[in-house]
Amino acid sequence: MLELRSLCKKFQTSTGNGRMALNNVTLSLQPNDFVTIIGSNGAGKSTLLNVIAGVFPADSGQIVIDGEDVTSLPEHRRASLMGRVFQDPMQGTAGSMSIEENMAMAYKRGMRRGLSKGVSVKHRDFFREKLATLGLGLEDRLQEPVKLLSGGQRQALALLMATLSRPKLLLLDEHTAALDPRTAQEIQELTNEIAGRGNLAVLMVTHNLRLALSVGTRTIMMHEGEIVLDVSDPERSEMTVSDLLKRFHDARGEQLSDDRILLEV
Amino acid sequence: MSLAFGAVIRVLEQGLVYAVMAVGVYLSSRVLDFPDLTVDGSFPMGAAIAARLLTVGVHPFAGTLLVPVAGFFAGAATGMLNTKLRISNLLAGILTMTALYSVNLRIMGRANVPLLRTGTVLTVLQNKGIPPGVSAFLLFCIVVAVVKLVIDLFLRTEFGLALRATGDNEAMIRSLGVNTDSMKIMGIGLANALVALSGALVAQYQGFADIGMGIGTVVAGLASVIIGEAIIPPRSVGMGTLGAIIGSIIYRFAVFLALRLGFAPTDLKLVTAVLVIAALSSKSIKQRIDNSERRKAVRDVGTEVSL
Repeated sequence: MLELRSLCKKFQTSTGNGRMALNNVTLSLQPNDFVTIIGSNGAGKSTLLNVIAGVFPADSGQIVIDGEDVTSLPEHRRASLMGRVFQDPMQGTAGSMSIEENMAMAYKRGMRRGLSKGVSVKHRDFFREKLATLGLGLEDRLQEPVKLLSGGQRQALALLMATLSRPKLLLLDEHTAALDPRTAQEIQELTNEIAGRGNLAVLMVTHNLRLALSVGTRTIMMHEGEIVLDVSDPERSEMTVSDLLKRFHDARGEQLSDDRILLEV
Repeated sequence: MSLAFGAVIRVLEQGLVYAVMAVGVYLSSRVLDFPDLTVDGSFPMGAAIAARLLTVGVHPFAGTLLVPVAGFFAGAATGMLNTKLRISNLLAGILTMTALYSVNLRIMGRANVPLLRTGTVLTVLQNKGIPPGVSAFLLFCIVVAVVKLVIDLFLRTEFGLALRATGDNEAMIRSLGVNTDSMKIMGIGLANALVALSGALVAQYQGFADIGMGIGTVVAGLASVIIGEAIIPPRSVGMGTLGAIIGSIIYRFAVFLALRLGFAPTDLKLVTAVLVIAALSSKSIKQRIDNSERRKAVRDVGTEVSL
């Protein structure tokens, strides 16, 4: 489904020495893999998603999605293959536009956009039906601008939009981190449900180690631009957070001592 | 009485003919969130092309309808400078505007082309039996109505939604597969097509094209958009374009009043600039007043508690 081969990405730093954000990353995903990605700040998690999405190109390596080599394609030409939800709920939707207009734009993901009506009557019924599955009452607010929604509602809408046209790959970049605990849990449950419908590979970045082990089918840990740990079920389902940290220690020969990653254990 | 009525009609005519430009500025500044200074060059370009075509005998309506095409390319040039060559949006507009000054002189051949002896869209109407007193008002009403209708419909198409999203949340619409560079080029092009059309109509309305007639166009356009927003909250696309049109009319009335108050026509740019500064700063000044009142309130409460 997704093949990453020897991806490298170096960022220039102010000191002049480059920092390897991705160092020879190779990863292979099956069509129904739900992979959680953990790692301390600067480990390369977001860079990995950005390179897959094409926000910026990799320095070297190859990206193949669903049999298609997308390494040299710009971001907008990869859009039909993947959906994406960001950390900031504002980032996944257009606030000044209505709910149905946002849905209509997501519905046309990766397709040519012509001069036919943006939101047709037929679409409207389909959108209403889809929004009803969220259970947030958004189906009755189709014409309201998205900026009137709460952060959680916006994120639920963004998640729905990311998967509306049934892409093969879903990229989630700490998409529950900016929400309050209860809303975060609801969005996570919605994510699990969407992933469970099948025919969708998911890459989910999170800072929450417990969450990383409890959802999905596979967990990878990144450190200094490399994948240092890659465990799948059933082995993974037996693991605890301390096992995870121990495995990191064994693999790297150093203690994982990032405050942020430990704080959220 | 009839004299005042005549004056009101004249001001309305001006408001309407410049409203076409204001809708263009609304497109670039509000829909695309792109501060486009091309406008000061594309407006006189529209006038220059119309003047040239009309003096060589092209039918006024045919000539006027060709103008937006040229305006589109002027705007698209700015869009390309910005997206393809990564020149900042303000500088890209300034560069095109500066280049257009020379282009406009080339088109006209001299700094001022009178249109009093050539046929214009207005004389065509008058020859059809429409009284001179209402021909301009009638024509500009129709043009503005058509422009508003077409732009409103356009902004609700699939393409229009992508254009609006480019101004609202560029990263998001790009992740949905839209080439936002093309969107900006097309959007700025479309905005300047309207601006050039407005310039062509103004030249025929006032009876001449002048190389200096573009100075301050973008500020007048912004003033119209801002006034419109203050009166009609832009909750939808239709409200936004309506606001720009109403704003343009009110702006021309303000100019008319300023002239009545004794300002010289040459002072008008200063008056406009002050108007725009006042409108733009009103929000931050209001905020500052609110804040100082809140601080004062907190201070008062603090004193009470300490007592």
